[in-house]
Amino acid sequence: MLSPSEIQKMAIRKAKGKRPKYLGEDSTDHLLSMIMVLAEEMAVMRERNDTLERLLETHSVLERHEIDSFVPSTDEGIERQLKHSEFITRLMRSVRHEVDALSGDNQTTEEIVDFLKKN
Amino acid sequence: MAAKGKMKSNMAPDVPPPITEAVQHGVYPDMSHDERARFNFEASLYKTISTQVSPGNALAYEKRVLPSFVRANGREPESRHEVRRAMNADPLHNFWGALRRNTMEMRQVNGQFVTLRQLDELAARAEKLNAGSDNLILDQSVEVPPYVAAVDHHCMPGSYHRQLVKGDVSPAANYDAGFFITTGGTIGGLCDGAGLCVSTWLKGYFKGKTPKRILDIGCALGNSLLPIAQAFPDTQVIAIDISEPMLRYGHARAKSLGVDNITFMQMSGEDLSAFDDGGFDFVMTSIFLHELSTKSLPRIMSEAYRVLASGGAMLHLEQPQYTEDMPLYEQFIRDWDSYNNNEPFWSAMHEIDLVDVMVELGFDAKNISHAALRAGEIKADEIEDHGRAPAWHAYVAEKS
Repeated sequence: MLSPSEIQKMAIRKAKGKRPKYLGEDSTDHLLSMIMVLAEEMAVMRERNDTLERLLETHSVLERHEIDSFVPSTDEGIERQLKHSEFITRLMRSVRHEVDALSGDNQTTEEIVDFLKKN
Repeated sequence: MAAKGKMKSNMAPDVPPPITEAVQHGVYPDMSHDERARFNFEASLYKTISTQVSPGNALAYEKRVLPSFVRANGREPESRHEVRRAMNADPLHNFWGALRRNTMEMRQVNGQFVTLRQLDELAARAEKLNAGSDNLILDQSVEVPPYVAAVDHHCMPGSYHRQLVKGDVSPAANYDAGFFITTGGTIGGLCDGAGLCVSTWLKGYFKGKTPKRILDIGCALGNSLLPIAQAFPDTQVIAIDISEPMLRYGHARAKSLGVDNITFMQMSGEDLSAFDDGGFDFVMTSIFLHELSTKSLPRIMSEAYRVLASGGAMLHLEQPQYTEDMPLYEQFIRDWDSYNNNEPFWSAMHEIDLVDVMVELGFDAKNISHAALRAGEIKADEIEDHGRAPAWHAYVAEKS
């Protein structure tokens, strides 16, 4: 019997040999690999949700068309829009930071290190 | 929405079947909801990349890679290797390659998680089905040959033979589950499409007669061999492989599917000294030769010839060889797996003239033929995704 950490370590083991480079920069290849895994997990969640909906229908908890015809109250609608907004803000963090830097906050850590040494 | 199985065929969406459509035999690994969903997603990824992105390779070659090669060199490429080097600088081809490689790696990671967490249970299930059988003959003195030890085939960590616990069958369970996904269900719920093609061909070949003995070299988990053994229930079928996990799993799988005329033996195709000359009416390999090496391929062919009876036939199922008639671009795209999917002998093997090899063994050239085998019906408008369609090339040689 393998421990959970042994399983993790073995399951992601690299196949023998040097992995070909596809997108020039290693970091770009890493990013694509991460996006594909995230897309997979999103698809897994959708399938899980679908299972849940079907089971709820089987057990007469709801009928699936109720999900499509569901209209939130004004407050509920705003609450949900806020969730979208928070998610997009998190997603855009990196590009947002670049915009912030262009607006003036672009002091490097080296400059701060230097500033602290002198002050 | 139409109920499952009731949908009219012309209305059925063109999507790969979910893994729940694979046949759940006695050693099939258990999977959680999300593990199955991951496999389903991966099957869809393969199909979508194949139908929507793969055609871009040929277009990129035609529209920009070839013209730019001709501008730079004043001539067209002269080998598939020149085509490969030129294509390796094309962004779309590289992105397609990255998508394809990642999909295979994701399928492997999922299969590893599925099987590693139930190593002992899978071993116990196989052991229960295998106990007391005379049809499973393991021989631990058989060494893993260097051409297997050096490669994690199709990015499968540990390849076919890794053993982590006593009685391990996990490489086979992983291979079995993932095979349905990488083939998108096109070769059936038991991944036996190639074997069904061969068994149909064999029935025509033997014309109602029953072959006494059949040998399959490099049987792996026996998925291609089962329909052949079922088509000839009174024939003694011998299946050999170097991998203990594959043989244990293959035997247990056959047993749970009610097939009992196959003897699974641990043996290298390079040394068939356990068998007399001319003892088999039919000797075959199925999608196997490309996993050998330059030196082992003729040795295995020579042993296969020796154990084949006069009047018997040898059949090798593979992709078509690269000949001068095959456009260089097609050779290049068929070659992709060699460099990107850990199939390092694929490229060299498809260059070998198997007819020459067979003639050298002693076959009469007029007794060597080819057969194009296809699983099910291929639609006329289907986009050819070279080397990945459920179609094979059979090399057949009759011994006089």
